[in-house]
Amino acid sequence: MKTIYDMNIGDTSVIKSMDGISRQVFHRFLDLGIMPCAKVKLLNKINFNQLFIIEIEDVEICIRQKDAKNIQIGG
Amino acid sequence: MRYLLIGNPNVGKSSVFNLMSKTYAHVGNYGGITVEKKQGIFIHGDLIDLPGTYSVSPTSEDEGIVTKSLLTDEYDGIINVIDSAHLKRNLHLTIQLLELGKPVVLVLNMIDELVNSGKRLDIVKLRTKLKSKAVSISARTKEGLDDLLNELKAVADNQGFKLYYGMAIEKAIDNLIALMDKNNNPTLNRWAALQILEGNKDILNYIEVSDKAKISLIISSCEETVINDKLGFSLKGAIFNYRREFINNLINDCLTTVSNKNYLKIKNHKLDRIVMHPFYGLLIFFAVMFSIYFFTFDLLGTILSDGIDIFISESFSPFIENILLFFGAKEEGILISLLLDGVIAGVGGILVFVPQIAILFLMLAVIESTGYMARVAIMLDTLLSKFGLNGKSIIPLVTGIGCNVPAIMATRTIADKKERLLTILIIPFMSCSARIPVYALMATLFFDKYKALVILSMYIIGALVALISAKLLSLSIFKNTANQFVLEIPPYRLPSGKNVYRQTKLMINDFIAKAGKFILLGTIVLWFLQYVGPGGVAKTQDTSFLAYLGNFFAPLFKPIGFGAWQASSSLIVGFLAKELIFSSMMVIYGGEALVSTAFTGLSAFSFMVFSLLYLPCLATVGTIHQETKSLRFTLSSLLFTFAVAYFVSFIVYQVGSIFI
Ligand SMILES: Nc1nc2c(ncn2[C@@H]2O[C@H](COP(=O)(O)OP(=O)(O)O)[C@@H](O)[C@H]2O)c(=O)[nH]1
Repeated sequence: MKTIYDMNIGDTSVIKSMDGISRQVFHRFLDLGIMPCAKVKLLNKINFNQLFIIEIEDVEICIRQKDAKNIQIGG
Repeated sequence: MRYLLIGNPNVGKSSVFNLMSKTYAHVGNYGGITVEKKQGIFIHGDLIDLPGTYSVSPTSEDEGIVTKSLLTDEYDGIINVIDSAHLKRNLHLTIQLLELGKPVVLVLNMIDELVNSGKRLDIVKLRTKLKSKAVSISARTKEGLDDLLNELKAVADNQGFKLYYGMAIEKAIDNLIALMDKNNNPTLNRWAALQILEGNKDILNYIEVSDKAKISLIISSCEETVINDKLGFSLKGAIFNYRREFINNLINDCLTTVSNKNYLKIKNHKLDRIVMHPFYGLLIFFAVMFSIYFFTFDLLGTILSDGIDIFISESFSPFIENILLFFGAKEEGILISLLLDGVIAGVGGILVFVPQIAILFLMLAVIESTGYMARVAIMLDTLLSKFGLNGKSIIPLVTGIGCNVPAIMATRTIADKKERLLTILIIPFMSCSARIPVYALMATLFFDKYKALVILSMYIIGALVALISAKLLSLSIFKNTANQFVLEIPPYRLPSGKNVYRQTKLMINDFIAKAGKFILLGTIVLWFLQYVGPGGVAKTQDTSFLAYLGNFFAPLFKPIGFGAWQASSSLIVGFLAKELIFSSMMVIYGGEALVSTAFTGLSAFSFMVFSLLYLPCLATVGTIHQETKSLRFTLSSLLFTFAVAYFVSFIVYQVGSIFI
């Protein structure tokens, strides 16, 4: 399944699920608006693809590669 | 009236606070936790500013304070500051506050940004839907301030905002309430039950629950139902989803798009590409740090400091001496000695550095408020994670250049405990402003031509030692950190002059207050230890108590280049506050000229390195203890810094001796 890691810069998609993300991080993500059904846009990949800058609900958020690989998208 | 000010991070809470309140103060120590809780007075009462938080249930230490304040503070109402441009996320906290049942005033800030993005908010509708007072304002343009003050004149009862969370969760809520004290306010009980279901463990410290074992049973069975019914991925997730649905409906009703504008954002993205670029970004970061340094030490700061110095030594000090002589004080007598050599020399010597420190704090406040620091945290995350740290560690580390105390408090935003402790442990290696005096003295005396370079090297050595120790510690004691990083990137904003001014003033006041207390006390104790000895008033310096104390430790410092009692005494006194290393050297040696004969270039450099690293000051030690609540950790951190300092100075001196 495709994840945020597979997106190209500028792509927009919808978060399907967040399997593989630990509970604590999951709750942290909820607070920031990273959650299933949210529309996500990939703005940039930096530090040689170590960090992913995404936009959700008009807020820019930076996540690590390992988390980007665990956020499944589709549509 | 007494209000708690609560809101998400970066919604302009401090701006609203500054806009409303005329006076402000740090409320330092608060029930065992040092909280950056600021208190201010406005025309209708008191304001208590709490740290920004996304939710009442804590995920980092910073956020636990909010639960505690909500349940134990005395207050009449809550002011919830909201970023109108990001309602969807902000309203989750709002719902949790409304559910508590206390009077709430919603402050929809940044209304100017909302309008600029082509949207319109129907505040009347919002008010009815949330059954609460609400005002839209812009802390930047001051629009809406009068309305807000008007609403705060009196509190209105909470109208009983209540959200329905579906059968499964409602049942769990009822089961939890059954375990609580029936005499409590039922709204409070419902709120506490919801918080417990959300995973807010702190609640149990404040609300009596009869059967604690049963709680986890209720939670786990509810969570099971929730997951089976696909209401969410976890219980908290399900609660979140109910709120989200409510919020989405609310926003559909209240927010309308008038026109589509987002050109501003595109400009930001282009800027971000450069600022967070692995190469250019780093270059920019160093350039920024270097210009701060340059302004502070080379340009403005030095000129102002010299001015104060001349004033104190050529006008103020002789003036006081003349007055004392006029009133019959003996020349060379005890009173003149105490006041001139002790108090004025010590405190005056520190005041000289206030301009430099002020400029440093000012510049840190400016870059902090532009949103640049968040970019630095991101850019450096990959690098810092290699050292067992986290991009967020950079903010405390940079703050440490101003003062270690707020730096240690700033580590609260680091969610992982181990990463946080590790950051705390290395902050004392960041060269704080109190160490400037001794650098300035030594560099002027011994490295005049390369003065700026030598002082700069202290900052670099400090940062390198910090990183290397972090690496070594993360490989040994601090293994397996959570290694987690997620950060909201705030939009770039022009710093507001008022906020920056206030923040700088607060920091300088703290510094002077510290200079007033610790340093005044320190200089008097120091003067006393030096004036008397085991045989009464000390005839010569080396028969004083201070000399005895210094002599005792001196052999320890011989291998690192300064085995004289004067040097070790200064270091002992410097533990009170690092500024005192300088003041006590001036007093003990009796002026700059005599310092210059007591050191060689190499031993002076070694002394500077040792002063940089050896021990955090007393105030920092106190903060470390308050923040970690562990005596063992605090003592270990003292031992650790001392050992590292000794080791580094040893290398500097011994290796240096081979070449020189
Ligand atoms: N445009 C605009 N900017 C604001 C407003 N209120 C605050 N800001 C800016 O938003 C940034 C964050 O504000 P601050 O008060 O530090 O937020 P806090 O983190 O919630 O305390 C600062 O750069 C402020 O100047 C507002 O009403 N409109």
